[in-house]
Amino acid sequence: MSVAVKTAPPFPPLRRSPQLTGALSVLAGIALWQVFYDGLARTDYFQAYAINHFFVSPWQVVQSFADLYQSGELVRNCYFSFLEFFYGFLLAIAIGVPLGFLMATQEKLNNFLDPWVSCIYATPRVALAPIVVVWFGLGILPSSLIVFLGAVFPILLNTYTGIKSVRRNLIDVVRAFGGSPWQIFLKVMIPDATPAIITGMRLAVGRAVIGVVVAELFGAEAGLGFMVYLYSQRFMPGPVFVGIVVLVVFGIAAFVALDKLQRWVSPWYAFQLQQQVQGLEME
Amino acid sequence: MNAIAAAYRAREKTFDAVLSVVFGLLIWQLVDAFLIHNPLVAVGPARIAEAFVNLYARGEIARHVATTFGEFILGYAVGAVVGIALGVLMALNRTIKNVINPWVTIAYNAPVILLAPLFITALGVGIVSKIAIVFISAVFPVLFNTYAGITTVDARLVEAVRSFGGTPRQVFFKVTLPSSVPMLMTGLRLSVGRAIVGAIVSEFFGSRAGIGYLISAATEAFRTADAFVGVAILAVGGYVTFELLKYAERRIAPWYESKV
Repeated sequence: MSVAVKTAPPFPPLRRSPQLTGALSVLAGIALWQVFYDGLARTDYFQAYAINHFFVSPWQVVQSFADLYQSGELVRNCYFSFLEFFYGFLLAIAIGVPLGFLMATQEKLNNFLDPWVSCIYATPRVALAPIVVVWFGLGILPSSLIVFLGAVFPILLNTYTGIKSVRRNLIDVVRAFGGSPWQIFLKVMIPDATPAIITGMRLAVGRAVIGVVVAELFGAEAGLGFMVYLYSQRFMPGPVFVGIVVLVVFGIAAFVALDKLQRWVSPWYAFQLQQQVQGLEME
Repeated sequence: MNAIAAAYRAREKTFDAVLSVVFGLLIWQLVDAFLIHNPLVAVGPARIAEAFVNLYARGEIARHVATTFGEFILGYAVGAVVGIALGVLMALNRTIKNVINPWVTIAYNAPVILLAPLFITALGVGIVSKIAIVFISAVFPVLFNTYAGITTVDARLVEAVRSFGGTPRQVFFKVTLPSSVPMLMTGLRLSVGRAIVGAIVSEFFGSRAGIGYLISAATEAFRTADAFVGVAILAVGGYVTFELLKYAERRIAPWYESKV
C-alpha cells in the first residue's frame, strides 16, 4: 500500500490565515486608538471633559510601563500580588482537592457539606473582601484568603465531578484482580480524575486574579490592585492600563501552563470532560 | 421508632441538609455568644438578623437593593442583546469573526473590573458607570456561548433540511437557531454571576448607594453585622437567579441536558 505523502506548500496561503487577520486586526486597532486619541487631544472636548483623566493612548501606556519599571514600583507590586496569588492558590488546591475527593466518596459528608458549599458558591466571594480585611488586617494574609475563597470552589467542584465520573468498569477490573482500595485510589481514581482537577485549576486562575486585585483595594500597601487604585485616585489612567495588561499576560500564561500540564499528565485524555466543566464558570 | 427511621431513610438527603444548616447556624451563634466577645469579628446569625430588621425598618435595604438591581438589570439586558448580536455575526461571517476574535478574547480574559475607577471618573459616581461595568462583564460569556451554539450545530440536521429542499433562511431559522438556544441560555446564566460581581466591585470603588456600598460603608464604620446583611442578600439573590435561569433553560430546551 502506498502512502500518500503530503508536502507542505512552499508558501502557505497568507490571505486566509485567521491568525494573520487577527494580528492585523490587533495592530490596526491599536493604531486607530492612537490616531483617535491624538485627534481627540486637539479638540476642545479634551480640556472641557478632562479626558486625559480617564483615557489614554497606547503610547502613553508604554511610557507608563517604562516609568513604573524604572522606578522599581512595577516589580515590587507584581511581587506582592504574585505572593498573594501563590499562597491563596496553593491553599485552594490543598483544601479543594481532598475535600472534593471526600465529598465524592463519602455520601454522608456530601449530604452535610452540600448546602454550605452551594450557598457560599452562589455568593460572589469578592463581596466578602472588606469583611476579611476587617478580620485579618492589612498585608498579604487577607488578600491570600480572598484568592483562596475565589479559587477553591472551581477546584473542589471539578475534583468532585472528576472522582464521580471515574469509570466504574476500571474500578471493577482492578478489584476483580485483587486490587486493594489503596491501589484503586492510586492507580484508577487519581489518574482518571486528574484532567478534571486541572481544568478546575484553570477556571480558578481567573477567579484568583480578580480576588487579588479586589482584596488589595481594601487593605494593602503594595500589589497591582493597590497600584491601579492609587493611580486612578490621582487621575492617571496610564498605570491602570499597565496593571490590566500585566494581569492579562499573567492570566494567559498561567492558563497555558496548566493546559500544557494537563496534556503532559494525561495525554490519553480526549478532552471531552473539559467541555462538560467549562460551563462551571459562574462568576 | 421504626417509623421515624423509615421516614429518615426515605428522605435522607433533605434531612441531612436541614440538620447541617441548623447545626451550622447553632455553632455559629454559640461561637458568637460564648467564645469570641468581639462584635467586630464574631457576628452570629442573631446579630445579622437584628441588623437586617434595623436596616429594613430604615428603608436602607429597599434603597440599596433597588440601586444594585437597577444597575444589574440594565447592564445585563444591554450586554445580552449585544452579546447575542455579535455572537451571531461572528458565527455567520468568517471575516468578522477573524477580526473581532482577538479583541474579545483579550477582553474576556482581562480583569475588566479594574477599569471601574476610570469609568467612574468618566461617567460619574452614579448608576451609569456601574451599568457600563456590568455591561462589559456580562457581554462576553453570552457572545462566546452564542457563537459556540451556532457553530456546533449538528451537521446531519442541516443536511436533512437541505436535502428536503430547505432554503438557507429555513436552515437558519428552523435548525441553527433552535439548536443554539441551550448554549445561549448557558451563556446567559454564566453572565449573571459576572454581572453581579461587576456591579458590587464597581460600587466598592465609589458609589452612594447599592449593596456594594452598604458592605464597604459598613466595614469602614466597623459595623460588621450590616456588612453581613449585604453578603446574605447577595447569597440569596445569586442563588435564586441561578436556579430561575436553570429552570428557564429546562423549559425552553427540555431536550438538552445541561452538564453544568
